[in-house]
Amino acid sequence: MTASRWQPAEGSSRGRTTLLTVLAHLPVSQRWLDLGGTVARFGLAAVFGASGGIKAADPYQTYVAVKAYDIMPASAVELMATMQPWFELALGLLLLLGVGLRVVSVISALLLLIFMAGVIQAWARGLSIDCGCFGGGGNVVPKATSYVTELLRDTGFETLAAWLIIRPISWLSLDGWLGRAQAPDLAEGGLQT
Amino acid sequence: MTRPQAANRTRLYIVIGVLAVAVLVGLFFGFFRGGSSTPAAPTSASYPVSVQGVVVTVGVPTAPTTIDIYEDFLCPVCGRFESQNGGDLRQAVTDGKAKVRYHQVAILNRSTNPPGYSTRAANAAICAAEAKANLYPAYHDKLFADQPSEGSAGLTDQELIAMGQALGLGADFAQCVTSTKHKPDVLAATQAAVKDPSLVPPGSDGFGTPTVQVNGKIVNDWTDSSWLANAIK
Repeated sequence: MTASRWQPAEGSSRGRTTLLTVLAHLPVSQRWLDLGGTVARFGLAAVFGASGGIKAADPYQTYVAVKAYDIMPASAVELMATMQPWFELALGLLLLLGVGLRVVSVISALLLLIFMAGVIQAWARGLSIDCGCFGGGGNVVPKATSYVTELLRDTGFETLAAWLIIRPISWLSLDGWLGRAQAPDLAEGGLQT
Repeated sequence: MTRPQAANRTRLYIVIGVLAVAVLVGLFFGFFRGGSSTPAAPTSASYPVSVQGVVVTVGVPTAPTTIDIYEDFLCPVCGRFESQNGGDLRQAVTDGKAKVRYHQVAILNRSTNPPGYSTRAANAAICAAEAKANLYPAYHDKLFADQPSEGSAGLTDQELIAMGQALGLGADFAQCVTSTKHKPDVLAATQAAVKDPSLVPPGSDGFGTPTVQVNGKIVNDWTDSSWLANAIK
């Protein structure tokens, strides 16, 4: 039971074959993989908790940071700057609880992709901005930009999210408490939306 | 045994619920903190304006509330502060409820390329107040409305002069801008502000702009839009 828990359910394996198949045949014990998932989950929860908290506490700076990306009209910047911190905090909370982990991880990965796209477009257009990922943000002098670092950091976070999408299993999760062990197929299939 | 379908649905509801609450909280704070939009100011101020050093005081001297505002014309958060509070401040001053003392300081000189826009803009604002005091509020607002971004070159002296001329400022103003007459005062006032512990809000690691005081007491959270209403209550 435990050994087969996270293998692709029958019929759904074709979509995400390779990585899963590789993982499945790795000579790593389930316990270690569960630990990895736990670390990834709490790590990503801390990332969103921190970045959302800092932004929510400083709405002016958040507005300035969003505006500096120079992609949206003022009213959209307003909306984005107002909603984004709370959305990040919500993702952090859901990750902390470990509920609907696969769906939450997919949303997290998409959000991170949007952030990375924002940074890449700023870089490509020759803007000089601070990403404002964890507070701060806004325009800076050209030599003060750090796009490579920011993108590498986001790639690291994407890796955590990717792990949790592929294998949304970890310790101390509400998912587990809600009876995933009794429903192995659903643990794999995630939420049927 | 838990029924898988039910457990699954519960998870989905929790996820949707938490995200929905986040959206509601965001909307609540958006409305709660949002500033009001007020009609455009007349070019010429209807209240007294006086200048002393780098401080320009607007409003009747007998107004019950004194508001001190330290701003750097390059500081984007100051620009945001002005777009949120400028109209309400103007209204309070017009109604005689408050006088506002604008301290033109320059802490972001290194954030333009070439450096120094903050000082040039602060100088130009003082020049405007000196040349035609009643045009200062409009020039101040214009500096923020056309605020250049950090990392840019900033506005040139010619652009700073043209903005003033469009409001009715003359040759003496232009001369004052190009000679950066008030540069020493701006630098000295900035030094003094940076060293003044009473201008650092608790929990902050140093002087920053904007800094707001009401009757000499620092306002800790001017991002909460009720600060002004409380000040002139």
